[in-house]
Amino acid sequence: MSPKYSRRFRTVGIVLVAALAGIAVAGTIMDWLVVDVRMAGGTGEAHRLWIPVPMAAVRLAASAVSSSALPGEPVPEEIRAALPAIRSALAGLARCPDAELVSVETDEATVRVAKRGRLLVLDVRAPDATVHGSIPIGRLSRTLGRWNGRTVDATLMRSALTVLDDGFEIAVDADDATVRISVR
Amino acid sequence: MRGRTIAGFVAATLIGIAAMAAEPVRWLNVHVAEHGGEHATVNVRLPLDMIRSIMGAISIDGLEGGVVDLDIDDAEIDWPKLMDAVRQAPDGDFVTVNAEDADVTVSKKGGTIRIHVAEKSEPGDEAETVDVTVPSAVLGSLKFDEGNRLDLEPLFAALASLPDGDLVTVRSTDADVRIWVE
Repeated sequence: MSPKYSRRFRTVGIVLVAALAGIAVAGTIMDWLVVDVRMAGGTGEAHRLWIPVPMAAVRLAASAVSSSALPGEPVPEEIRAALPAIRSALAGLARCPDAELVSVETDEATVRVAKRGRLLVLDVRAPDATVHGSIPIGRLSRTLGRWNGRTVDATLMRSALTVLDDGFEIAVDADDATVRISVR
Repeated sequence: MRGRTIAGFVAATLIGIAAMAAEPVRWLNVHVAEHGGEHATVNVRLPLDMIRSIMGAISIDGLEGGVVDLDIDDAEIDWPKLMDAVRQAPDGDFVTVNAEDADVTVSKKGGTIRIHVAEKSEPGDEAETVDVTVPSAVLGSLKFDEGNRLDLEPLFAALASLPDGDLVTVRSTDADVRIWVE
């Protein structure tokens, strides 16, 4: 191989290694939105859909949604009236120590709402399904604090994406399917 | 090395002082145990500070900005005088009502107002009892305006300063309810 070709191969090799290293580092540092759906088929076979998406790409896509594409749906009066109380509750939750805040137990189901660290955690257990959700309180509080409370629009959608922080998780385990949406 | 040790000691001391200075969180607890139907049990445990701030933000019929309308239109009540009279009254039974349906006692003991209602039931039925405990400190904190509207902010502030204890207990055939602060 001539010295000219050898130099070119070396350059390509260096670029490839640098690109792979960059992807590996980005994969480690970046938050990923992971959607994991498993469905049990009627005949016994199972299907799985696993979609990992970098949160940076999700935010980029959301920022590309124009306000005209989502002009805004008016918010029901009941929600608008409750918004100040919800904001106050979230601000209070952010300050309060970890605790189980609400628990409801019946013959049919158990519901628990707790504060653990910076997360509000919801657990529902019923005979046919369990639901687990955790949401960062501070992020949710800031998002609702910035929201005008009048319309559900592109601005709210973009702002709501900040709630999808590390720790956000929704998991539903039912008899025929399991759905997990999380940010890691 | 020595500098790092001293810095660590100072930081630990400051954290300790901050932890001691922080006021302990006071909680309002509600426990409901239903006897019939689904046998539901409900527990709610919320910081009183949080309830105070939420109350101020709620705006519904009868409750506006942390002020609740008692819906007493035709009576002119001098609430401060009334509360003072109750607070300064000596221990003893104030009101005793023996009726066909229930016995009611309002008494004061050790600076605490106790309201006891005992329902009279048919033979074989379980009677309902209601006990409400109101410390005098809470009575002194109640703020009413001329429109017979009660400001909840001072009430919750007073509840936060109470020692641990029950405020309301209800025992009935349908459910037991307990509300307490700790």
